[in-house]
Amino acid sequence: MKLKILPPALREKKRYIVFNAYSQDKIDRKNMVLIVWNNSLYVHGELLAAKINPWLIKFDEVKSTKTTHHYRGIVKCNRNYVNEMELTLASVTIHNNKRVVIHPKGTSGTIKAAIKKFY
Amino acid sequence: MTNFYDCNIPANEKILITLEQLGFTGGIIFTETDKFESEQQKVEDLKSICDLELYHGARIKTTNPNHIHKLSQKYLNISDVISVYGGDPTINRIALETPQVKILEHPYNNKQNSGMNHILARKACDNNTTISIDYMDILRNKGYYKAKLLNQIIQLVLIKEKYHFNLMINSGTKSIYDLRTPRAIKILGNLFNMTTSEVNKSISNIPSKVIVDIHNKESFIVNGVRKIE
Repeated sequence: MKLKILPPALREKKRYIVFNAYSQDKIDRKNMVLIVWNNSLYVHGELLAAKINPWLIKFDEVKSTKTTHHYRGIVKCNRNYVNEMELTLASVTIHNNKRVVIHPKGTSGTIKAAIKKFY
Repeated sequence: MTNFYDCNIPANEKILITLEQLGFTGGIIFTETDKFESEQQKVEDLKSICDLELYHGARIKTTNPNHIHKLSQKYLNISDVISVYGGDPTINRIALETPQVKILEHPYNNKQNSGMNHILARKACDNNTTISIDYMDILRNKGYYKAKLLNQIIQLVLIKEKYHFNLMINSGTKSIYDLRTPRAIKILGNLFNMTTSEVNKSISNIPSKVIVDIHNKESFIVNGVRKIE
């Protein structure tokens, strides 16, 4: 049986963070999810990573050259842990022995506003 | 508009172009003293490539404390600013006692402690020496070493809050993947218990003071005496 949607007062309050990512190697959506979760666990531990509750909403390639691949995306997190989520993104350095860097651009309460302002 | 500076960058064209794109206003390119003369022309050429406010500093990296006095006298007029590669407690002490040395880089670079105590903190305040932290020192490590290093830097920040010496945050970058936007650096300050406003000062106001000292170097006579034209 499917669970009923929670009433608005009980739902988790969220924020959407837009970011730019640059890497030496191609990254697909699956790898990006691994990067976000693994780094979250590494930096904050299991308990705080659970409270942050990161979720990758959007992930697109912007530009690719021989040496660098440029991506952008939106990640969702808990409203009370936005700083911790941005810290997770900023402290990503490596994935599968290739250099990766993520620059958080801005935060918004809705996906529409996040795309309009920062995407 | 706030001006952001990164005072520990290598002489690399791609890094400077990326730094400008990320919103930085300027930086100091540090070269070791044994390669300083050979890199001077390269740095001059790099200044014309981008709109960043660039300066060329000499970094003294030695295990012999006696060399610090000699090298700082030698490079005082050749370079814009002199920094010492810290870590060893004796080197840290001699660097903070030498008035020609303006920056002490990562004094925490040892396996035991933060590299600063109350005596060294007072010397840093008296000689107007800036202590610098590289955030890539933390991000490059993992596990036990990262936790130990973070602990040492947190202690350093605690001492800074008591004695109010100048503390600067730099990248310590070796590639474009090490650079972070000023916004990301303000968030990374949370790693070592610094507030956003303190980190903002560390990447804008404190480096600005170092750069003002570079401009005033020619009119400087003795401590407290300056030539006015």
